[in-house]
Amino acid sequence: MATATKSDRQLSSIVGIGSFNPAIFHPIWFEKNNLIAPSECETADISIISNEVSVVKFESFLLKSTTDRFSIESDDIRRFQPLCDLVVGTFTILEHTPVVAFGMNNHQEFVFDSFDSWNNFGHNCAPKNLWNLSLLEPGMRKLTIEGRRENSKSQRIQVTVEPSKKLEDNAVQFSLNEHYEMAQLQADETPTALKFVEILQDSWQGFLNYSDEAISSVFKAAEVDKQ
Amino acid sequence: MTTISATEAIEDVRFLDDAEAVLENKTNPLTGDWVLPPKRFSGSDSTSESFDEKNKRSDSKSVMAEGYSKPLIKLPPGTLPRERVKVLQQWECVVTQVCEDSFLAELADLTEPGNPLELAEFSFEEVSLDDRKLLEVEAVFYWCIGYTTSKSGQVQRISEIRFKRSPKWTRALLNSIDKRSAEMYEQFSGDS
Amino acid sequence: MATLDQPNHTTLEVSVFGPGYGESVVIHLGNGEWVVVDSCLNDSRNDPVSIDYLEKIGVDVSNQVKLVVATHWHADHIRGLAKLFHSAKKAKFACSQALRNPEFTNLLAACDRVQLVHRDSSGKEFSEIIREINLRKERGKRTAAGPDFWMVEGLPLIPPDPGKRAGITAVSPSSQTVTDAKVHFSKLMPNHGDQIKRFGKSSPNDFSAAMLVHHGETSVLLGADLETGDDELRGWNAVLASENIPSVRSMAFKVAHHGSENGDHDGIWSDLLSPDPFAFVTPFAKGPKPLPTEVDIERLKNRARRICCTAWPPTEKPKSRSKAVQRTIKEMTTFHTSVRRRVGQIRFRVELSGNGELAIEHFNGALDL
Repeated sequence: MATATKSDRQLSSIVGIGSFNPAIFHPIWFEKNNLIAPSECETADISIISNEVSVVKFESFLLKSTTDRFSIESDDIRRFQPLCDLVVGTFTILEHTPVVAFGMNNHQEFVFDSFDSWNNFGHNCAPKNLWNLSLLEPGMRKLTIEGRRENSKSQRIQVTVEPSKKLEDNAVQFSLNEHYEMAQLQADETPTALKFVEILQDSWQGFLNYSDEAISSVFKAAEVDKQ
Repeated sequence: MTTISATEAIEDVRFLDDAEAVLENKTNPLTGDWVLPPKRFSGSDSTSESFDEKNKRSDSKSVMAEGYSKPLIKLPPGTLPRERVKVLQQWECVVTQVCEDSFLAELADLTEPGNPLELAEFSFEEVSLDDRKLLEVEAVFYWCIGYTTSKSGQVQRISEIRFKRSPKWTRALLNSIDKRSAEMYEQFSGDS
Repeated sequence: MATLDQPNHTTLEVSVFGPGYGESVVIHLGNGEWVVVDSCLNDSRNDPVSIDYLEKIGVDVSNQVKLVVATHWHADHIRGLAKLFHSAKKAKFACSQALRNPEFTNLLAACDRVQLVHRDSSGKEFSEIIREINLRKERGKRTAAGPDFWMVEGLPLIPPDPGKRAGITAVSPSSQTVTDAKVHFSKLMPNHGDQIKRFGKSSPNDFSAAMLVHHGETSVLLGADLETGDDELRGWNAVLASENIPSVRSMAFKVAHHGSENGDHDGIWSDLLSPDPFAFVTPFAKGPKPLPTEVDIERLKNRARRICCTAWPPTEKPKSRSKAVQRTIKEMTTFHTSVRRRVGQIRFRVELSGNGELAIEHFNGALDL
């Protein structure tokens, strides 16, 4: 049986669509509001903070914001729950921020034990019988499947699988995005930011667990031993 | 068939396109420093070249695209390569008692959520100085055990305690609770 | 789990369930009518242990459970309660009158809203129960809003039917406790500008609803988590001074507050219990000292004919993990243990008439201390 070993390269992020004020996302603001430690504030690396765009690198998080998009990500698995805490804390304070939609993302990479296993997996995901007549040596470049998951208020989940760009040969990467539209979730006059925070709190750990389970089930169906 | 989700964690090449807001030559309002000094960019026009490859050839954070008279902000391509972390075990913990130089906590397994609750005692020394003022009964922290691999390949076993940070109660948050509470009271008490 | 037999129609059964943390009491009043007091989860943590047990012995939870009681709102007493109540379609719901104030629902809404700990459930459980009550009202299955019974000292929940069914009467909280509850809950509510943090527990716990299960001279006292404080008008002091509760001495006692000294009172043993009663204890493994302590056990042994505990010891060796993790845990901690998960059961059966033998059986690790 083919084997796919999970790499320690993993990324998670939370993305918000709405109306933001990038200028506010200064490390000092986070520290003053007890959202990061004083040492994290001191070591933060500001690429830019302005009214139109802000990019700040904290020790374990990368924050990017424009006027209509906010994202915060981490590639340190220790920080995946604190990532959610940071977003929850931020938008609890910025309660009047109009949030139109938000998404949770998780990205994982796996290395196959051989080229053949890797190739077979790609073939399982995207059988080539549709393409053999028009292409020589067709290969899967990227595949996205969309659906929904049980007991979730999200509008959709997209799972993308493709050969890994960053790792060595015989590697694949999975990217999961779970997307929420606030208009379909708002039942009362609670500010959208507070609703966003409420749903995020309830769903984040479940989403991370689901990502692991979803990837495991894909490998199982493809008869690949995931390690 | 599907379209790309608006909330996907997109690569910075797209982010840069979206954020191609041409800025005035202005200083950072908070520090007074130049945000990004303008510099001329010289690149090839190969249609197959990725933006990452263009980034590598540029030795500045900013580029001056032809036809523009103001700096165009180029955003960093994600997190920089640094030490990698392999987590073996993680817990979410609540402090139950604070003693003279130690504290007790209950631990909920985040790695295998079905496991029963655990109880443990830690010394204050395991808590970073920044977090010590958060240490009180009912405080929440994460405890993580694993390995780090540095850029040079050095492997190190790690154990880290990190306290959860929360903001203060805001008026909007308290108001949202008042509304919900009034509904619940009407349903729960039978009094209107 | 218990052997697959239901009690006879004229048998009173009181089954006490408890792992290292959590408690549930399942009662057969007689005539196929069942009551569940509080809730904890089964060994696999996915269902209330009461549903597990009742289904295993062939009881129709949907029709035969007549009453679900929440003695108070602490997490160890209500985990899975919403699911139980949802399943018990014909059951009424009872809780302490001390919760009938907007200050408590304020606190519930706040817990619901700011969930600082991923696994925290007490706020959500109660919110779910309120939702279920409301749903049943909307479907025309009940006319009144809110619980069917707001328990207060002396309130009969189910009257006894001589020869057929035992009754249940609340013995607490006292009216003073109910009056004081509003002030107590309002003090726990945060103000604008306060740091968001978890809500602490109140002490002493005298909001808890203790009950008598009684039929003639046969009775069992369920102590819930009721404690004794300094106030003569609250807690066990008030119960002992009350003239509103049936004057019957119980042969068995579900010991209050996990056998702690705070949950004890000399008067319970001299005035409310028959000589040489049976004592049933559920442990509490969390907190600085697991309950009951050695001192508590000695004290109980001096007072009761027999002390049965649902799970002992309440903690156990933690699950084995990889060598690197085990090594690190050993280096990092001066003490590390795991709350016992296995839910033990003490099953007490006696004829309603009081004649005939009584039977006490232990299942799933319950034992005599």
